[in-house]
Amino acid sequence: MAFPLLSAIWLAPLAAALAVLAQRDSKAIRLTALAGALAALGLVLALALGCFDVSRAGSYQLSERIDLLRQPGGLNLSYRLGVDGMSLVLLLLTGIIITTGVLVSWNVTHRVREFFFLLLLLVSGVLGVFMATELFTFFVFYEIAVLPMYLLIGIWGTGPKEYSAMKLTLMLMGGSALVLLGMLALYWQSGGQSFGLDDLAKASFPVGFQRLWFPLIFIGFGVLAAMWPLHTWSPDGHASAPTAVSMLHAGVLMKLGAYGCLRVGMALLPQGAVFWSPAIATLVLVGVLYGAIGAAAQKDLKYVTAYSSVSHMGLVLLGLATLQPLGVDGAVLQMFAHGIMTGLFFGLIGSVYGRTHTRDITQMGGLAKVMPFLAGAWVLAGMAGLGLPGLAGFVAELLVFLGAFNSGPWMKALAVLAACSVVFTAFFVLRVVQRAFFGPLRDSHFEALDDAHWNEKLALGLLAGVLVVFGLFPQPLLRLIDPAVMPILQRMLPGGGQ
Amino acid sequence: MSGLGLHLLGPEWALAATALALLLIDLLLPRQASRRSLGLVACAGLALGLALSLGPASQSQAFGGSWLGDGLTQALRQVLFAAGLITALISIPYLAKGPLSSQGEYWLLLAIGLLGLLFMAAAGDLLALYVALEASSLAFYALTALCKGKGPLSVEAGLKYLLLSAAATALLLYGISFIYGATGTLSLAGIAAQGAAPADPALLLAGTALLVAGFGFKLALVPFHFWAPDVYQAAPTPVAGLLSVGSKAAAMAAALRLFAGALGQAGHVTSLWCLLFALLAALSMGFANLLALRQKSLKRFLAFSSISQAGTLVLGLLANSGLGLSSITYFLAAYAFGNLAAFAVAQEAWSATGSEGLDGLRGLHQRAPLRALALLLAMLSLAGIPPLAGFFAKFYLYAAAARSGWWWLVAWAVANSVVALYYYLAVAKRMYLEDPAEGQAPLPRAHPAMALALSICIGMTLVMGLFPGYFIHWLESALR
Repeated sequence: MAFPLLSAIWLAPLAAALAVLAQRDSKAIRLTALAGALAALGLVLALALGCFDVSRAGSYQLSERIDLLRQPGGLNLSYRLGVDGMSLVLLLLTGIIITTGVLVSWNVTHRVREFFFLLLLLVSGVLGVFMATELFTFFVFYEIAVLPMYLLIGIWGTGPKEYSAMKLTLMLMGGSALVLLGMLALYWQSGGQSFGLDDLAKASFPVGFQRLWFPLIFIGFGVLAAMWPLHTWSPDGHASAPTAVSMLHAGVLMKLGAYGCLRVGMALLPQGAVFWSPAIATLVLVGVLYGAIGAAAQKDLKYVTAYSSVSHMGLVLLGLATLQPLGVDGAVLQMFAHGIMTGLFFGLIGSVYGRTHTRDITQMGGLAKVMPFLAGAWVLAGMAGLGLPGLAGFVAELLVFLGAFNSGPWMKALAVLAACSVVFTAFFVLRVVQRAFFGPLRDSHFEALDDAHWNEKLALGLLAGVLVVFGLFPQPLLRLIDPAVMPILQRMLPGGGQ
Repeated sequence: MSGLGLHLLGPEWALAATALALLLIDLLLPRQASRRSLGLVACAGLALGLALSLGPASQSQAFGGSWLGDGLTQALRQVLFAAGLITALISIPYLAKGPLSSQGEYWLLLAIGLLGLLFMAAAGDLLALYVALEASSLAFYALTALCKGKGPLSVEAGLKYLLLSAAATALLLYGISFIYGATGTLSLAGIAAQGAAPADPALLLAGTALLVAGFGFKLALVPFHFWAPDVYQAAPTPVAGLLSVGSKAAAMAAALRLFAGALGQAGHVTSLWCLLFALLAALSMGFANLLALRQKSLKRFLAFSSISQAGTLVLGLLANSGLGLSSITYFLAAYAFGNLAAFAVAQEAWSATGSEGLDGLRGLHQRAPLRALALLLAMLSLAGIPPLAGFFAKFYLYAAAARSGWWWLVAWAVANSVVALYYYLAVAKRMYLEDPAEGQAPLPRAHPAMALALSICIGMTLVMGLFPGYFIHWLESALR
């Protein structure tokens, strides 16, 4: 049997998590956690550069399968992994975010062992979801990715952390309850043979069934993607979470939701997607505008970024709802770009807050004088957020809007309105830059503050670098994403997928 | 079907012999002597019984069909002996604290109660079912009232249990008499043969409704649940654990035989019991969840959680299929390990602090890290979080019920599992998010028997969750 590379990818952080439990010294714990994160990132890079065949990016590769239960007429469950181009892009995102997340958590001192254990456990679940090619496997990893959040926010968070942690957990679990029902419906409707995504995609469900179940599954996953009006866990959760957890959550976990919408909802119930896409796009548009306006109205840096995440994730969902190749490509690219960008934002907020002990932008001012690196990185992240050409966010947003323009008149109208959100985004980005980083130093205490340390420079520099590189050269990512998206969209054509 | 078939009852003989041995040792030991040997004898007897139950089942019957030696019996033997063994292990440190005046009776009653449950799970006719039910119930009434250290509370609970149980038993007997009147037989096989075209359909319907009520009481389904929180609170903690697990398992096995087996293809009668049980299940899940949110006492909290779990369990009965049967046995095993672990840690918190409140768990992660972890995993398993046994158990039950078309009830169950997660996490919150209150010292080292019991429970919770296929095949080879 060949080396199970895909299993190794999710097992690496899990092994590190268990190794962390055996350590006593906090330095050893941090190094172990970093080793686990780097191992995951390294394995993903090895996969991307060595083993993955880009010319076949549209189909699952390096598949692994272990049957868990074979029960004729009953449950047939298996553990199945595989990667296509889209999975690969998101695995890469996860590897980058966890590595930087561990780096910026270098100064966690409270219950260090449990912190890194849970962080790595969560990432292990996320990596598993992006590789799962069977619904049962998918669901198990999905829940493993969500639940550690409760303790991570509840123990290491700030502000009303217990409330935020519980709200987040219950809303996300409510979403996954819908997904669980949908899973069972898909399984029994398809004849009860397999939970495999490929097998279910071939099942050609009746149109009525698709229209009934698509919204349930889409909303179930949509909760995690902060789809309006089910986004309310997101600002509270992000604001209460510790830095690395916000990074992982906004950077990666919310993408799980959008990924589920696409991989499960749209891919398995294509006619349902065709029927419901105008309604979903309308809801999503509200989220895009609401998030952007909300961000412009907030004073707390974390709330600003959390609301802008709602807006940006709305663009991802809008891209999906276009059902056009350009739009869906753009949505997946936006997942990657937003993941990196928001990771950078939350990392910066953590660093700034760790120094100034405030996240209120009205109390800051002139910070660029004492922390030029952090200010520079913020400007870069902000430019990516408002979609400046040359940075990764631009390409993604452009594709989403182009996709929307390619569809019907209703979509066109929505796209015009959604594009207005960019104005609000520009407003809040520039407002934060002006208020917090430029102008005179507002508080004399700030003069004694230092700039980023080595770990922060490494982490934030890596994120900024990725943002620039893939902004200038988005083509490698699109070459992975596009072939993986096409088969899903082809099933939506009349008579497709037969 | 020649002879009584007494040789088929190996595990039961082992348990009966253990009960006798316990009685004799208690009699022969001098009054002042330590009674610790009793616990070891009981554990040895239960372990022997478990070992004898591990093989595949042989399709057989004893006592002229009153006792059925089929797969369900075998699977239930495994669950019940395992639960009994864990209960016995937890009882050792409990009794070492000396809350009971008479240890001999405790062990004897425990063995007899378990024996009654074993026969109840294997009953092949309604009379045997009734006798086995009474045998186990009488033992449990006495066990509930045994804990004199709690003063009037425990006697009150014992009496409440006795009276309400008597009412339920009367319903059951009345129902049995109706069924006998309608079909002219007490044997389940006979009822199955007659059930489709009974002499008096109205009588059969009425009898079925009465039996549903009687079983509702035994399974502690809303609105027949009133006894459960009081009894669990007052009974010795290990006994409460066994009641919540063993009693439910045996009652569910009997319900499977009676409803899904004998009355499973009986037209209107089947529709009637399905409808009634569906309502009881829906009420149990919804109502118990709401009440569990408000509990301050850990044991009452566990009582409401187990009422809600019983409501979920009924989904498997409603599935009325082989898949439902297999999912119920898996669920019972997963639930037994999770719930017994929870009761065990509850007992540890109680014996260290003397308080049974949920606040006794505050900051447990500092005061007893491993026991806190055990309770956390038990709670997550009961809440149905992967990759623990409870997740797969629920998934399997939901799948079986959905297969049989119970979509509305599955949706209701799934929605309720989110509510349940709230209170299970509230326990985790007390242990992991809160710091110990002033004066809450670290717990003393766990008794070896307690450590063993918790290791078995948590180990099985993990292994059953990670390798569900292996255990399903195990159970199905027993069920076949």
